[in-house]
Amino acid sequence: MLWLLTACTGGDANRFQAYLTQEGAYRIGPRDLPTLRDPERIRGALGNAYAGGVLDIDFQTYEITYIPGRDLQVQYVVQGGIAKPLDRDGLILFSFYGHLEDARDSLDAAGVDVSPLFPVSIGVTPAVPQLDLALMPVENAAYAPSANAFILLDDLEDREVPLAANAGVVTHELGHGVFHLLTSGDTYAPKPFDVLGPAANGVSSLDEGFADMLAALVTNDPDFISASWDMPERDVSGEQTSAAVPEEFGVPLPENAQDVTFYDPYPLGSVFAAVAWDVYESTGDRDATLVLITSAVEEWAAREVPVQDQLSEEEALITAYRWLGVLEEIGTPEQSAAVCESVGFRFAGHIELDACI
Amino acid sequence: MHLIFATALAAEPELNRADLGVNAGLAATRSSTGNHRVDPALGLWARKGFGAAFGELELGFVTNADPVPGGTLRRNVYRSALLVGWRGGLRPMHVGFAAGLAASVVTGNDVMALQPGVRFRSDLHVPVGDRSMLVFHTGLTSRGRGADADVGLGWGLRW
Repeated sequence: MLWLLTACTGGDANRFQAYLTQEGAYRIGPRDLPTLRDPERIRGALGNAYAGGVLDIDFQTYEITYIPGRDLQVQYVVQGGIAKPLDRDGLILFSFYGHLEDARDSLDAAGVDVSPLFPVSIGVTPAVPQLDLALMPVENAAYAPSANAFILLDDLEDREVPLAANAGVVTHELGHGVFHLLTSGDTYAPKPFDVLGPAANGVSSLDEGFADMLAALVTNDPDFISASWDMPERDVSGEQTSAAVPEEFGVPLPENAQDVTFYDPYPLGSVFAAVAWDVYESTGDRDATLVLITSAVEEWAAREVPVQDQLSEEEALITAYRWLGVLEEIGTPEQSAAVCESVGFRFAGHIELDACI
Repeated sequence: MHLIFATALAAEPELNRADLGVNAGLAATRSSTGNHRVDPALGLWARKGFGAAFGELELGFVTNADPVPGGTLRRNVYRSALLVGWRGGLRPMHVGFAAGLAASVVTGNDVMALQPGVRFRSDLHVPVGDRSMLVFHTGLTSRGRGADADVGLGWGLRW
């Protein structure tokens, strides 16, 4: 039955139709969004969304800024207390906010405090004045560190589950925010590691890997991206090893030449993420694994950031791998054993942890 | 020379006749994110001349579909508009400009909403024979805090 309203919004909704997921399977259905104060504009305790705006990057400092755009106007009709969007973009926006709520709640429940991240800005298809960025074939939900903003872009192809409605992808992007918070201590601070230095490639892989770890653990789906994108190489329960990372991506090691500009952080990032998934599978304790990986990032950054300028180039190059050592060092005996076993397999021939020998 | 502004032809019976036409084209309709997506659009219009001025009733339709889990989410926008305008130009070819009230009914996801607004339309009428014409138009219709835009090519009849 159709309901006719003289405005697309209005009416009090207590539930919101959105993409719902359970271990990788998606459906459309109603859900609560308790922190969403203004559903028409997507504004709430977690953040405020804007249509457009300007996303800019300073290529000298790699600092990203986001200037908010105009108010959104989600078009929905309230039927039986449920806000039903008239178009898929409305479903995506409710879903994005909902996935953000779920991820925050899961991390809170596990004992990982991500409250300093909120509220965030959510920029929907902002303008990108930098020509070389604007022409890149980018489709994604993204997190812009130092601007503390999520950026939602259109999918280049039609997908049943758009990236911005994929719970794992949203959690992955939140993971970048958590990584930035843990390593810099301030959501609006610049990236703490030299983005053009010898540690940059490894750190960016660890950043991507950490985001995948969070996404896989929070959604309990190691292959979370496959609902939107067929990328078996990103399934963190797979057989990824550093030895299998294609040579052209130059695994950060002293014997490999490094190209910061064209480095692809994902292949090695998936190996890092797979270690965390191994620990979870071995221990069966998801919350403890979440606490372990976040504590390890915090501790690793506390050790590495202050001394990064004092390291030789070879030492700096393997900065990211020392996170594995911290993981083993601060874990429970059961977790540490799992880390040793996993690193022994996944980084065979490249990295050996002293404590595991 | 036939460069005569239609305002000077208010008394000419030709300009007081009615036109009826259909058109097809593209419409960029605003979504919840504020983005516009472009889809095929259809339209129907009826115009009654009063010298250089005219009144027009216009209907438009645009549809789009997106895959979602378990099926397809189809959104339809049905637009009606009541416009008044003025026309002028090289007789009998002429351009018209019109503005008026619009009401868009949007259906999708098993719900429907009525969104009032205003519409602006400009068109170019090119006579083809005695009673028919090619019509190229562009239009802009407000809907909520945003607007839809459309362009189209159509065929009209005069009697």
